[in-house]
Amino acid sequence: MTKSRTIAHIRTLRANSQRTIFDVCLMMIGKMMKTKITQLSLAMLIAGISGMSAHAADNAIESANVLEFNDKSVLFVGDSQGGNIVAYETMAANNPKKGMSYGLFDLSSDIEKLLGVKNGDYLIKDLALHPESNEAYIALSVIEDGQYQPKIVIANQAGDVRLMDLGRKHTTLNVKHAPAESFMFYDKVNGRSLTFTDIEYHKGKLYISGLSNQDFKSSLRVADYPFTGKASFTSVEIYHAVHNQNETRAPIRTLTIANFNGEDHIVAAYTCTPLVTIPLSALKDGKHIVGKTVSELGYGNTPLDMISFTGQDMKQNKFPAILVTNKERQANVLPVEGIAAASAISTPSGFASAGFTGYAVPLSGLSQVADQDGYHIAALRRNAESGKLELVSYLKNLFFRLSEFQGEYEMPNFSYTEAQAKSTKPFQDMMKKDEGYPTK
Amino acid sequence: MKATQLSKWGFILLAMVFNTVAASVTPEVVAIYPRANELPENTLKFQIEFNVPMREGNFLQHIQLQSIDGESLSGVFFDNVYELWSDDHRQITILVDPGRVKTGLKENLKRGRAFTAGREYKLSVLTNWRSLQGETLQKVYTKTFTVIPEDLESPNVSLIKTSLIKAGSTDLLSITFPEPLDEQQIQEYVRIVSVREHQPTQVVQGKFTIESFGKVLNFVPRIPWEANQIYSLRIDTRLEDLASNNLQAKFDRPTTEKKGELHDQPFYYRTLNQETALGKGIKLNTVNIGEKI
Repeated sequence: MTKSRTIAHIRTLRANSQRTIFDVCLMMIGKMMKTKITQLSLAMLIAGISGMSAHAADNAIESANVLEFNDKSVLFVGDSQGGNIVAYETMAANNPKKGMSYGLFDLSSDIEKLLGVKNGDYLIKDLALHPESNEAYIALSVIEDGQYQPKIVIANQAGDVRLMDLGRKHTTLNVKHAPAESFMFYDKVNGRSLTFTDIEYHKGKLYISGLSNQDFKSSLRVADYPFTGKASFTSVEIYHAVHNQNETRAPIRTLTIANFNGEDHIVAAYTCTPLVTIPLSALKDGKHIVGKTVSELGYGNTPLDMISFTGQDMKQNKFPAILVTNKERQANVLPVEGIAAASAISTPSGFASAGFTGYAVPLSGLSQVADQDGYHIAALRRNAESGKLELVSYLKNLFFRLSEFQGEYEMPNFSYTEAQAKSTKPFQDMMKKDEGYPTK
Repeated sequence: MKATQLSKWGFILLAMVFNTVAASVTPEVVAIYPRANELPENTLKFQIEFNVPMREGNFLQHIQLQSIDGESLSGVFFDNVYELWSDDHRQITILVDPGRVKTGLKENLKRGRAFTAGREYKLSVLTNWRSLQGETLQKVYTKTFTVIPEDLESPNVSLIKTSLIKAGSTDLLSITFPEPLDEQQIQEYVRIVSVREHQPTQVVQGKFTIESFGKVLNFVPRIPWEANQIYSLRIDTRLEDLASNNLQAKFDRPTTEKKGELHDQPFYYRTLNQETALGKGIKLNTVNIGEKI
């Protein structure tokens, strides 16, 4: 058990048992012994012998909130509790079903069996797909010994699940603010935390958004990868112009990068629903930047994730687009061309049309979404009836699973008209094949 | 059996007993912030503090907001996918949907603010919230508050009052803010510092207590205030009032308006009034905005 882990344990023990006999006795015995070292050793002894130290000492993270791969096989883990971004070098495992759709409809049982936990004792935090093997990496918080412990489960299309070794080779970037002076405020430890909400890797840099539990503000951190040092990041304060009379601060909820008007831009969804663009070149300043508000995503709408992908229309025309998935509502596809052409919402009345919102696609009820490959996105969702965790893929540009709809096409006596045979059937056959069903 | 072995087994027994006690702690709500009874219409955040680490996920199912006559209000809080917990999972921050709080946004224009000045509301923490150990709250905890008109101004630092400090004593220093400020932030953002020639600024050790729900902050130094020593109140300018206006800027800043005096200044300093060693005179109070000490 490392010293930091031991201290974390003591904190948790104290948190769990504050104002209980345990805490009082620990302090009393510590005071009797007159040394903090003895107190620490005593806590180590008690924690150790009572089975509360079952955590791997070589675990590099304290939590796993956000996952993001670079374009190869480096996995970035946003560790909110540790205040770190940890970069793991992963191996691209042999995945015979690479390129195929995911259709795992009882992933919860597999995870619970693998971890030895029961339903309700773990949280799903994020999903990312390995760019080379296409295996799904799922970040979890699992209740163990009275605290949340990070786990990353790896699943493939065949339904094999295994645990990632969180002690494997890694580098770390500390992102958290420097801690306040060692100062106990009326004997309490300060409760500040920073929760990472998104990490985007783009051309050797990480763009990191986060929410503080204390300050309501938008700070975007930009770091080079490979990490060049502990403090090698820029923190940028971004405001967004609500209309041309007001500018305001708010945290970024999720972001992606898109290229338009000849340069790369951050496209960010704010907690208060505006969609804002900021040219990457503007981030050099590192101070007060005002982003251009091009859209509002709608009330009560919590954006889950944003994915840049190549869209395709019915005439096979390809175009760069951004998929915005939402916690409750259906998703939106925003062609980048439309974002580039959108004028800033500059007057309060401009909000009547909510700016450029693209078009809606029928993705909904998802808890996590990630880019899978050139054809699919992968998503985690809970079955509405059984509550089981499912990992499924959707074909990009179609954004629904044919096997989940009952149509007349599947009736025994149904036959396609000539027109349907040319236009509809090829799509349906492609989807059936992708979802693992025979074609007629 | 040797004495050391006996002692070891004694410890094991003690540990088992203590762990059992620790595992069975009943979760309770320690406080709901802001603790003030009057909250501005554009209040942005609430924080619920528990005595033990609590479970994350679906926080909206564990709280209820009602008007004083019992009507349930929905769509008030931001349905955050990433719940904002303190690292020890004993405190959660809940945001009022910023789309309604901020002026000029579509929902603010369409639906208005969630709260109406002059009305009373009840925020309840329900018994279905479980601790990490699986125990549920034993009762519903409720905060009742009255809503007052919106606050669109930064806290006015020139209206902060500080009491006199007496050299040679450990007398209490009382700091009175012009309005209640965010109690959680006060803990981190306010310090008393001393300035010594050719030495970096030192944080004066002592004990703070918050009174009047974040309007008054008291400080008692651990060692007596020294004569011939300059002490300053130091406030991080990110310190917010209950409507998230901070010392640097308003929450919503009209672009036509001049930026605040403390804009881009990390700290606000104010030299404290001090009685001289003989108690015959008082040093002049000087306000040093953004002064680098």
